[in-house]
Order: sequence, then structure tokens, then C-alpha cells
Amino acid sequence: MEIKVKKIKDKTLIQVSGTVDLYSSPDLREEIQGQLKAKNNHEVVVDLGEVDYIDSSGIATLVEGLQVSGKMDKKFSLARLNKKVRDVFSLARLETVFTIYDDLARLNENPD
Amino acid sequence: MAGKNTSEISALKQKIKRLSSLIRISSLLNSTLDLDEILNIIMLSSKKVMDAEAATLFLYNEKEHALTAQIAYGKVRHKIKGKLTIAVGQGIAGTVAEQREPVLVNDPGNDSRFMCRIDKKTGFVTKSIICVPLIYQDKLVGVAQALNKKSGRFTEDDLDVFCTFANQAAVAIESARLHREEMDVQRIEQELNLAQLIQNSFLPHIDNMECPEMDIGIRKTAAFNVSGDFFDIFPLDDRQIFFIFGDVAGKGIPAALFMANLLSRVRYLAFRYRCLDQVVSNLNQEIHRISQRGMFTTLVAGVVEMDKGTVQLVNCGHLPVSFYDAEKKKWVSVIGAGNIPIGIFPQVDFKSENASFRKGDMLMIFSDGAVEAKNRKGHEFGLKRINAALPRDGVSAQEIVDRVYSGLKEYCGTERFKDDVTFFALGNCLRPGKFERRICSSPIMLRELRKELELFLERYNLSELLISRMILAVDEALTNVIKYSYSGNTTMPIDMKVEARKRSIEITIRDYGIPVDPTRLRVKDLENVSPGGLGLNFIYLIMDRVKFDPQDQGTLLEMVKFI
Repeated sequence: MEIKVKKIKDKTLIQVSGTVDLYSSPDLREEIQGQLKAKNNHEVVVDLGEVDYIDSSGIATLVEGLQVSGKMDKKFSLARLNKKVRDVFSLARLETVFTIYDDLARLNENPD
Repeated sequence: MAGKNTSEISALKQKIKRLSSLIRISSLLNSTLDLDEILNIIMLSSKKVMDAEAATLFLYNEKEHALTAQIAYGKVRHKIKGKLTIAVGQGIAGTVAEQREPVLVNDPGNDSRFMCRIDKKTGFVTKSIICVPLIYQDKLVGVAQALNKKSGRFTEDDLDVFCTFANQAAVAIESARLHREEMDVQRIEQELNLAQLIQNSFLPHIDNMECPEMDIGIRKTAAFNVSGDFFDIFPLDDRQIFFIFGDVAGKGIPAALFMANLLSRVRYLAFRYRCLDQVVSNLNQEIHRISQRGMFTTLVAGVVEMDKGTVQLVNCGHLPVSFYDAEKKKWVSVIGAGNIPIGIFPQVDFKSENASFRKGDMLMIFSDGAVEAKNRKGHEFGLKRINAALPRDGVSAQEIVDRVYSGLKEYCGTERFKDDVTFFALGNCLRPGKFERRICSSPIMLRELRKELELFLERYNLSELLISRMILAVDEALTNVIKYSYSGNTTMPIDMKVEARKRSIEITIRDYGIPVDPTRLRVKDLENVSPGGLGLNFIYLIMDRVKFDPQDQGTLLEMVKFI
């Protein structure tokens, strides 16, 4: 798994590639939690477009991010769910829980 | 006195001789059941006992109401045997047959009943006749006659002896006839059994099928020994399987012979053309050319393309085919392009249809005998009941046809059906295979193992979604072992086995840590969004059967996915 972090306007984009499983999800968790805690970050977006595998530990990491962001009054969203990743979300019935950007271009749009 | 005594003694001696002859004949008659042999004994003995120049035995032919000379002894026997037929009521023998009374004529020239044309034709000169009916249980069997007593005229005594003799002969002929009929029935039965063996040899032997990726089930019962239902399945090459199932109009031997002819043509045409449409239209032309009295055939034929996961189907006047969609776990009736039966018109443009036929999918084809089989109240089993009896879990093709057949048997309350009943199931199944690994309980091992498992599963032409889900289930199970059974200890062993069976993938995972208590396993409430506990949900959602079996040390987890 590789992680790259980018700033797009007021959003922080965490770009994940490779596999998110029991071995790698602790690293993703650390990154998400860290970015959520950073002062100027109002919205954290996790881009899963290049993820070829995600399991329940990866999903749990994302759910935890959503919960923490709620407590901190910040926004937490996902971007680019490919077919494989989307299927795991649908198994977990979590497709509708997250705000999902279908493509990164929409991150440039101003909210409202 | 002395003279009278001498003649009386000689007459008595003669009587004794005759009686002993009769007893001997009687035992001879009872010694055989062969009709020809019996008739010969009768005539040879009657000629001798009656001291006659010639003797004839007529058998009664009920259909023609006439007598036919079956056996003749004497100089002109070759002109009589089998060639002489006399209508009942005609001539002396005909009169005896009609009136069922014996007749003794010592001067035939002056008897109006006598037919002199026979003498003229044969050159025999009839001087005296003794003629008696052969009657068995009030039924006329035939007439026996002795001609020209060598030592003078026939007497009333002769008549008595001949009558006694005739009674015995009638019994012997009738029992020999019955025996012959029984033998005929037995012979036909034996031939039918043989025919059944021969017919079965035409049908494919599924144990020898050269295609391990086809799961085949067959169940058939013939209305008579032999059947007009037929099927065949064989690989055209590595990746194409040809199959055919049909029902020849009619049943019994004619249908069976026709079916044998048809099957041999199918193989020839299939290898010659290797194209379903051409095979069927050529078969139609040939069958039309040879079929007698409008004998037609309904059939379903197809070619399975293993690599594409498709089947090309043609249905010529046959019932719909039941199709199992493994992904939707649903049976549906499909026609597969409707056409007229083959053998009716010489030129027909048969239409075929392509359908998806992936791993786990199944076709079930059956003869109309199955649909039209009736229960005691006269109600048909019907298409609906056939489809309702089809099982939905991943059982083998043989089990599918067995279950439908037992449903039919139960409904009808018998296994003797009026028409041939055949069920044929064909599944696109997995080639048996195995994948075994022992890994250590470190999260870093998981990625490599998933890759290996993916390579193994990809050999089975399974859908991408199914493969990635099964990998997810295995990964979740291993994650749980690492996290809970081994509490994060990364050096412990885990044994994994993945086995491809015909219609299922069976996975076992064995660890040697803290045994799982199945009663304390909780499936997460998915409505409640929270991290953790999702893995077990995934396993239950993905796999069809999950069983945690705690061992003395560790747990054996068994998971089955029906394909």
C-alpha cells in the first residue's frame, strides 16, 4: 500500500494505492487520524481509485475516520470507488453512509 | 370249439397288442413337448396300430375354418403333407370335423361324402377309411384318419381304438401348442432384454466421459424394455461439448431401432460439420428421407463453449428446457429457439439461440413422458411440478435428476409409466482440483496468499466478482485467526486447503490457537455503523455454508461456496 497526500482547495486528499488489509490498514489509520486532527483540515477525502484490495480492516479504518470526523465537526469523504472496492462496501451495506466523489475533478468545485 | 377258441384267443392277443401299443404311444406322447415330434409319433403309431397303408393328420385352422394335412404317412405322403387343405364340412375328414363324430367307411366309392378328386390327384386308391376328430376341452384340434386296412376291412373295434388314441393325441397336441406359445413369449422376452442391453450400449457411458468440466446426470425408464428417448454427449474438441436429447415418436422396438440409427448419424454429422445449425439441418434431411409413416423426432441439441461460458441451443419441437442460473440461484424454463420437430419437411431453416452457461449453471432436459405421467386420479405431473422439484443448492447433476424422478414416482405412486421417461441434466462444473498451504500467522503473509489463491481460482472460469469475494472470505477468516486465536502472535501455523469439487469450492482453515466457541460468535448488526466485527459478516454473506468446529487445540473452520 502506498499513501500520497495532496491539498485541493480546502480539502485534504489522501490517495491510497495497492492493498488495504490487516497488514497495511494500521498505516492508513494513522494517516487518516493524523489528517483529521490537523488544524486547518476541514474536509479529508480518501481516494480509493487505485486500491486493488480492501478487507474489513480497511473498511473499519474508514468507518472510524467517519466517526472521529463527526466528533470533531469535520467532513470525511471518499472518492473513486472502483468495482472491487464498491462490492466490499455493498457487502457491508455502507454505500450510502459515506459521501462519495465519483471523480477527483469534483473536488475543485466550491461547496454549494 | 377249438377253432372258435383259437380265433378268440388270437383276437384277444390282437387286442392286448393294440392296448399295449396304445399305452406305449401314450407314454411316448407324454415324453415330449415338441409339437412336430408329437405329430410324427401320432401318425407313425396310428398307421401301425390300425394296420393301415396310410395315415393323415389334419390340424384345424380356426381362422380359415379348414383342415390342413400336417403329417402324412404312406406312399403318396409327399403329395399331401402341407399341401392338402379341406374346408370344414367337405369330404369325409371335413364332415368329421364339422360333426365331431368318428366315421368308418369301408366302401368309399359309394359314399357321397368321399372326395375322389384327392385320389385322382395323388394316385392313391382309397379302399377304406377310419376318421376321428381330435377334441380337447370341447375344442376341435384336428382330424386323424387311417386308410386301407392291410388285413381287410376296418371294424367297430378299430374305431374304438382309434378314438381312444385320438383323445390322447388331442391332449398331447394342445399341451405342445401351449408350450410352444409360452416358449415364443419367453423367447420374445429374452430378445427384448437383449435389445435393451444393445440399446443401452448406444447411449453414452457418463463414467467414461472425456470432459471433466461437464457434470452429467441421467435417469431413464422405458415404457417397454426399449425406449425411443435418446441422448448423447461428447467433446468436439478440448473446449467444445456437443450434446443432444430427443424423443422419437412412438415407443418400443420401432422407436428404438430408429433412435439407434439416428444416434450414429448425429456423431458423424457433428464431427463433419462442427456447427450446430448444419448438424441439425442435415440430420433433418436424412431423417426425413428414411422415416416411415410420418415418424418424427423432437429434440434439443447444443454446443457448450467452455471458454466463452456460453451454450448454443436449438429446440426442435421439444418441451422447454429447465435452466439453472447459479448466480441468481434460480431455475427458469427456456425454449431455446422454437422450431418444428425433425423428419417432417425436408428443407427447414432451424434457428438456434445463444445463452450464457457459466460455471455452476445447469440445463435439465426431459421427455414428454415425464410431464404427461399421471397419478391415480388421472392428473398429469406437469411442467410446474417438475420445476418445483428442482433443487436450488449446488447438488450434482445426478442428484438433480434423481430428486425430480423421485418426486415423479411419489406423485404417480408407481414406476411403471405409459411412456418413456428420461431426465438429462448437464452442468458446467469445476474440474476437480486442490490448493493447500501452511502459512505462519503474520499479516504480511496474507497478500502473497491472496495472490496464489487468485491464480488457483482463475483456472475455473469463475466470475471476477465471485473470485474476489471468496478471496475476501478467506482473508477475513485468516485475519480472525491471527487477531483472536493467536492474539497477534505472528509465528504460529495456519493450514489452509481449498478444494474445487464439481459444483462447489470447499475451504478449510485449521489453526492451533484458542478454540472458537461457536455459541459466542456474533454476527454484526449492519444497520449499526461502527468499525470492527465486519469480517465474520463478510464470511457469512459470501459463503453458503460456514461451520466453526472447535478442536482440542484450535479450530477447524469449514466453508462451502456452491457454484
